[in-house]
Amino acid sequence: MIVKKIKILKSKSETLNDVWEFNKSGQKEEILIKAVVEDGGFFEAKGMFKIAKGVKDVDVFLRYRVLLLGENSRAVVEPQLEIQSNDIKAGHSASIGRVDEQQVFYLMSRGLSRQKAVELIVEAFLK
Amino acid sequence: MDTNAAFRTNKGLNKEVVNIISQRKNEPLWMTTFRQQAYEIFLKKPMPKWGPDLSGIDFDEIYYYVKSKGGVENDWKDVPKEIRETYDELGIPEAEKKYLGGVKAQYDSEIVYGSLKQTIAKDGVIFCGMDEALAKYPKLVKEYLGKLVPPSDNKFAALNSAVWSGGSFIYVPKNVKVDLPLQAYFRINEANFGQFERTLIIVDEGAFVHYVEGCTAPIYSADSLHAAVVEIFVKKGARCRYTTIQNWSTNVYNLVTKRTKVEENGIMEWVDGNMGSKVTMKYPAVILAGKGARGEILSMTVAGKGQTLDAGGKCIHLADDTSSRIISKSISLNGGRSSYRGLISVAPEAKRVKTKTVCDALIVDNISRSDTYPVNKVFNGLATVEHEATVSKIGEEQLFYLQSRGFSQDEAEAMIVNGFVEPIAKELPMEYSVELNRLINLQMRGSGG
Repeated sequence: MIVKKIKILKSKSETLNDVWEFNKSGQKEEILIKAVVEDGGFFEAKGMFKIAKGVKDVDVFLRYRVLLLGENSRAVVEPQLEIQSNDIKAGHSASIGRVDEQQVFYLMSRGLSRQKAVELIVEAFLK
Repeated sequence: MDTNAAFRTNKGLNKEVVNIISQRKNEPLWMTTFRQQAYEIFLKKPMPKWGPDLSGIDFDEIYYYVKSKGGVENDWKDVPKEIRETYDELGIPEAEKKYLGGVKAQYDSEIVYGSLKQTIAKDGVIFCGMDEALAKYPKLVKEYLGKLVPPSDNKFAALNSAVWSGGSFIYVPKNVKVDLPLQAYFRINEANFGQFERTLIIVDEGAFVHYVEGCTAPIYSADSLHAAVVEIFVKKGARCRYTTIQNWSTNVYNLVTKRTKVEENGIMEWVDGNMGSKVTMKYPAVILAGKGARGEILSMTVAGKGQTLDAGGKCIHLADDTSSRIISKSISLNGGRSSYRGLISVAPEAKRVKTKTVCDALIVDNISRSDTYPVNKVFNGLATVEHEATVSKIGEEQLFYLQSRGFSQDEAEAMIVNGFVEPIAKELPMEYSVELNRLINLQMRGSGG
């Protein structure tokens, strides 16, 4: 498993552009990309999986998880697949969202300030 | 073909052809101007630089306007054998076969349609051909036509705007709910499956309509290019469902622009099934312009031998609390290529948007191909956007289980594929979903696992 973690600070931006080609049979891989985007930050990511003709027994997955911390946080995520073999499993997912308010509420009910609660959730997200 | 056509323009496209089309139809001046301007835009616009190969289109080899007498168009023996056999396999009635094969220009459904027409007309619903609408309701047409898909949108929208003919016009007044699906199929007095159809649907506040375009049986067309435009306006609290079943013969380039604008609390649902054609490019779009509006796109493609089906959906969130869902199921077999191409866009001023996309692709054999090209643009931090896609083959365990129950491999594969498209098939009108099942069985038989 490959894991990439990115934190984008206020008004900063980050661009990822990846292509993964699977040309050998029997490859198994899971790639996880996590990004936290502070208010005004911008995260842009393109990720292509290519599986060539004749390749067998490949099982691969690409996952993007993006946490937007402010109303002005922005993200453009483009996961792509080009598959030319049928003896494989391939997939991708992208979830882009904000901090779970229920988690914030729980932590605040335990005496944490809102800021502290969000910090804790972000820390856990990037772990 | 076409020797019996009452009138047709010369091959190829120029200013004069555009003017002749407008003259023949006795159109008002504004429409002639609209066509002329669109033609100029068509000339300037480049071909799309992305997506499937369109180099096989020869714009000079196309008849842009053919007006038939409504009599014989094709010779039955010119309809390809495979297509005739498919009709038999599907159990399509004789009269309908000839209509679908382009032998008869019209499908005589006056009995079915006549009573429906009376019922809906009582409520003030307008359902007619676009040409008729332009003559009878010019104000409505002028107010809405080209407002959602302007000629400058893309090269094929410009082409359609310049030479459009046929298509449906629907207006549903405030708070009227049309119970029965309206089908292009039931509309008579003109050939329904035109090359450059233009459809305009207006669903006024609180109203509902379900429109069905196309049919599951293969439609034989000698014309190699079909470029349609569909514009739908869903007003406050209204709901529209648009079901397409496209099964053009495999010589056709099918390049369609479909778009809806949904106002406050309105709902738009596209059910889009694509089976035929050589190349299809079609991405029904929903523009969620009013607070609380909702869009749903169900897309299905079955790409067989020599076919490239590039389909998907677009949801553009412009207002607060809008939500959308895209479900795509694609099947590639016998060397076919199916692609999902989609866009989710959340505008900076749209708060609390929720959207989810799920794309599942099945590759039946090792000569076929499947692609997924989604774009997720999130410009407001309060959005929740989810996307997931999977590509897989038919499960060995599933196959083994069914075979252990006495099904042949072909039967078992067909059952699994039918199960795969079930979420979309069940949204289709019953007779369509039955035909879709048979059609998949037919395609699978040829695949040889």
